[in-house]
Amino acid sequence: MGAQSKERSEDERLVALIRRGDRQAFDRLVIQYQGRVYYTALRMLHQHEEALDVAQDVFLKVWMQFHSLKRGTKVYCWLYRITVNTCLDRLRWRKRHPAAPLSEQDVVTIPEWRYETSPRQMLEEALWKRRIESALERLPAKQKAVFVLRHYQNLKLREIAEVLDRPLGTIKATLHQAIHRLRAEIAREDLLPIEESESARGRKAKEVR
Amino acid sequence: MNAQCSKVQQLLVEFLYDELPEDRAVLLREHLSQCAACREEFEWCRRTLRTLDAVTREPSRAIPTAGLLQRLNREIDTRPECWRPRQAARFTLPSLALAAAFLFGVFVAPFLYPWYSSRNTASARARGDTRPIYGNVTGSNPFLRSNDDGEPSLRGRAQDDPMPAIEEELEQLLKPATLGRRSLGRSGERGGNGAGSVMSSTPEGF
Repeated sequence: MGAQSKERSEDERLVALIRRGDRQAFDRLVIQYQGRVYYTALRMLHQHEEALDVAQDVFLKVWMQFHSLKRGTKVYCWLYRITVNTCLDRLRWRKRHPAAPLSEQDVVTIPEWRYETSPRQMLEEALWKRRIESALERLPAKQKAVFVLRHYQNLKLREIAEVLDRPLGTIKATLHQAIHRLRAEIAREDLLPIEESESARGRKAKEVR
Repeated sequence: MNAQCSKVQQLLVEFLYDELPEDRAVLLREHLSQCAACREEFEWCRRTLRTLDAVTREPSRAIPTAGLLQRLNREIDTRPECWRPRQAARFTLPSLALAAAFLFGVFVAPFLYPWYSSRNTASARARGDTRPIYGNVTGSNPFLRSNDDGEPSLRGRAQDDPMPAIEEELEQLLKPATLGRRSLGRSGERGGNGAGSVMSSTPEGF
């Protein structure tokens, strides 16, 4: 909490400097938030190049519209809002101009080497993760935005309501719908965590015997 | 599912993310221990979130945004429409000056030049100044008013006029013009309408 409040006061200081036209303060703001903006865009769009484009667009919009930032608005809320809106625009554009999706093999990332696991297990784990990620990709855009802000950016539900400028009840309902949808996908494709599904398989085998 | 179950469903998300206040969380736990349907729903959601957590945990790796700042600065420098604080100040100063001039004209000027605004008011008539303001002069020159003979003149102001000195000065300045107008006024009498002829700048005979 202390670190968070320190970060907020640092944000306020930077905002005051940027209002006076301090470009170095703007650079510091970019360095501080570029990771969060990039990863939010990456989780929304699932493409590295496009996420980089969005990050650049977002900070350009921030600089161009800095004079319209109302006093008392939290700068991180404003940044997340611009990021989410830019991503929603791009997702809408994609919907109107559908292209061939990337094949699953192109985007599977192999996790770091661990001595206790065999290469086969690692590959299985990577494929399992990829299948869950593709279930996340299929979420409707607004549900995805709320899910990404909660799970990847660790924002509280109240903060998400502030970022998206929606009532808290709407955010809770949207997140509940997202969880239900993902639950249905996980159940359909038998995507429980590997250890859980293995123990379930073991139980089933015992029952059969 | 009863009414209490639907309330629990609304609180379930906050409970799953440990954001429910403790007093409400106690009530919710109590309900879950009694209601099998809600308990099953809660367990399913919790298992789903545990599964998702394994995927959504961001690995601690470097942010692949190298060069973003340089590209951004280049973009800002090359775009002419980008906001710059000094430009904003340049835009603000003239608009402030314009607004000040407007406010001065509307609110302050009537007090500085009361002879202009008070002539047409009912209060002037209430003071007993029943003479026609511009006499037979229907033009817009506020310095002219008719005297008792119906001729345009600067004389005949009320006694409490606040600016007699200026008026005298103006009369001196306008004397030749007044003479000219007097002759035009006479011609107006012949034509029937003195007002139009007084304001007409065309000499008699043209």
